Amino acid sequence: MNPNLRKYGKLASAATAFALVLTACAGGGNDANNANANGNGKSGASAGASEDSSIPLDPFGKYPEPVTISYSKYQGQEVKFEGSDTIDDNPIIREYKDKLNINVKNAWVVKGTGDQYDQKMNVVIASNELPDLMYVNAQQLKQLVEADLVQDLGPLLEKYGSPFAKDVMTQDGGNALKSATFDGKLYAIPQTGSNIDSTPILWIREDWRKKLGLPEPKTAEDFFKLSEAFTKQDPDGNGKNDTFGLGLSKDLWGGMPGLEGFFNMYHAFPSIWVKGADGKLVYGSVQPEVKPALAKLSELYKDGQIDPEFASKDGGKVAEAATSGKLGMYFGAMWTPLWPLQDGKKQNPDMEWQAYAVPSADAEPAKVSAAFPVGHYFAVRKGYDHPEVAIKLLNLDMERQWGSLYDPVKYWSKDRTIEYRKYAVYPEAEPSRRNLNTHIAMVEALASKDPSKLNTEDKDRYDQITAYLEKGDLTGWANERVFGNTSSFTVIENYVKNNLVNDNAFYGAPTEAMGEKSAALGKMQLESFTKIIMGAASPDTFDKYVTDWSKLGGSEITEQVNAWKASNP
Amino acid sequence: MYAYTAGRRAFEYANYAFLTLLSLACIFPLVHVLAISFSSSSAATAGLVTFWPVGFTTKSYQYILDDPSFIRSFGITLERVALGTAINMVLTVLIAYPLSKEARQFKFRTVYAWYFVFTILLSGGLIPWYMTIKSTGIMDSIWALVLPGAVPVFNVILLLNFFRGLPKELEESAFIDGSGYWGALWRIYVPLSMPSLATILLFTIVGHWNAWFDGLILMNSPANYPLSTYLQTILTKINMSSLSTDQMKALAAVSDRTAKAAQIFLGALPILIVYPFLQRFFVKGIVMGSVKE
Repeated sequence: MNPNLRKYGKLASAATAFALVLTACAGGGNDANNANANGNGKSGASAGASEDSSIPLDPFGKYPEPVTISYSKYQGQEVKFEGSDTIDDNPIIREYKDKLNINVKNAWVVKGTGDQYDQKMNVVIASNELPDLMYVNAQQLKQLVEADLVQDLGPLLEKYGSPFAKDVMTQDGGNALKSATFDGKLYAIPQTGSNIDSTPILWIREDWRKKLGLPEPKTAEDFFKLSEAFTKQDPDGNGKNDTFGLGLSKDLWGGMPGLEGFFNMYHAFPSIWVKGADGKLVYGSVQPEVKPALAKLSELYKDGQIDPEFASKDGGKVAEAATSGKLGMYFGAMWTPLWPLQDGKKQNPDMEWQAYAVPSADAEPAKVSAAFPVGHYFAVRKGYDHPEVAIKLLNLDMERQWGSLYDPVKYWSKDRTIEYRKYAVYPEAEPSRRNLNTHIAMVEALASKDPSKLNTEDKDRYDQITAYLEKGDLTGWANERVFGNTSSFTVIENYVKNNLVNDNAFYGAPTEAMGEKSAALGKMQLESFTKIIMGAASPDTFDKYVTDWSKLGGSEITEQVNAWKASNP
Repeated sequence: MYAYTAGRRAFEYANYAFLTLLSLACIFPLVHVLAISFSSSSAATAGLVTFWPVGFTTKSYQYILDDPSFIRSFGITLERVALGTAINMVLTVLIAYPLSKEARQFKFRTVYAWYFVFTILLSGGLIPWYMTIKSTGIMDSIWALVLPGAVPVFNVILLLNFFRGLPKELEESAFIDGSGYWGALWRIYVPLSMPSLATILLFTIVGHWNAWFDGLILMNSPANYPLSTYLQTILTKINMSSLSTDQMKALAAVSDRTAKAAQIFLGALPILIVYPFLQRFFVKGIVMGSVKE
């Protein structure tokens, strides 16, 4: 940007007020800068290749000379430190130095929510002051790749990646890595997550169901009977008509509560992309299966089985209704016993919630929506001489967090309240089946009363669960509901076994039209669905919604999604 | 005085009732937050607290006062307010005074005036703003919070108009007695402009106290966040649509509503205290600046 500034320098000094405008112009100068960086990048990469001997081939080998990498760190709201540790200097950072001879320096840190971090990253990308290793979202990764600012990590992962790190990256069937691949080159390490953990579960007030003597919800018919009974038969026995059958929030979707499961009963998959009859990808929200589900919801609403004020209540309010005993059922995520149900159990020990699989409206078992779990990526700046450092750090982090190096004594504070994992470069990238495997091991351990095979974190859970089962200690209730014998993961295990998980078929970066239009389309969807549910519009207006959706950018998005599909078979 | 007609009386009652309701509507959220901050955690999560603490405890306040990051951010905000307000006020007075003169006395007045007004009309936008600050090398320091906004042009215009409303004769008499412009500014204009200055002072203090976005973008380490940025990072709701068990556990740990309420209240307290003392100048100050003569 300097040449441009210099050119206009005199003018600028005459009237500094124009400085701001000039800086904007200097954006043009950025390209020159980028070109420079790219040039360096190429020479850097080739230099790196010729210096191979200085890079230890062993995935956990130590560099002979110290290597420094700057990193953009996102620190969650909950991260805490022990003693004089800070985000820049803590046991994990020191371990990188001791074990690998890598100095990890935080170029900058944002504490707060992911959105706030993304804002800062946007500004940093625009000002072209990239750290060596960057934590970016899908949109930003796409920008960086298109501007040719990041390096190909594919061969490096192949060459330096440990078998376990590679396994974690591919546990979901390879979609995570594919989503970071552009034109056959892997430009980033995905922050892996679990698709199966996001599948919807039907949560039911089991004590109410038993009290009213109703059957388990094997079919949608049973489900609707329960919903009606929970609304009208005064399940809490207080003589007042103050309970609702089904919980809905104003957002409609989500983990606490979300309607994904309700639509899945009708084989509809709103908000995700699915394979259509002709093999092309189609958007789940505009398929004909959605209509009967909406019609049924509006019936339930009319009948008083849904809170008439749901359109103004967020998930937190529905959580309050559930914990205070005003709600009989909702579709939600596997973690809802941990929050908020545990609070309800503490206040009313008689309250009992049970996880059920999403029932089906017909003979065919219901498949359930699974979100694509990768939202963030780790990319290496072009021009950085040691891109393989990113892989080395990944090897160590994965092994320490989920593999053979896991050590609950070494990597937890003495009072066991602070886990050092959060300080790592790859703190959240987790194996897709991690929680499911915990459940399977937990059931075995509970049956044999032998927790010796569990890792220490799971051993803690085991102790809590047994304390609840044997001594009635309520603090273990939530873990029992999530990991125990008949729990969230019993349901999820069956989804996986019976091949009922319907993954989002689109897992690329948001397409151009999506970036421009999906916010408006999402708002339109929320409005039309809410109106139909509340009876302000007839279910037939769904057809109008579908045509509007196509006209206002939906068909363009569909085209782009299918173009992506064609290039990512 | 004249006798109130029935209609007039009805209006007065309605008026008072309306205004009372309005002020209650403003006070209740604050009382609610205060009540939550003194309530037990389980009562707060279950939504049992309205305007009176349930299960009274001062635990959240102890928790905050033990938390080094809250105290540190509080200190940074105090530093920012003190430094930023001093810089803002001095520059505002020094710029407003010459610009309040006529072009006859101060030749380039119009040029300078437009030079300042221009920044209100057009701003560079987020990225140029960030790059400018970055290239000055003040990133990650207290100066990044106070220098970029050192000249609040809106306040300059406010004060400039107030200066213009003061009788010229006062200044002339000072000149006759041997004072220069400098003396006239500090001995005549500033003492006479106290109401207006108090108003600007309040704007400035509140502005610095509440600003959070620049702290988030310009500070490279959470240790340097001012209080409002710190509050913003702990209070903003996490999107709950896709959470892992770990994030969920973490959320359960931070979703401590009582501690948050206590922090909100402590964060708002200093401004609440300052407000009544400056507020009486507030209305008077703006009105006087605009309708004199």
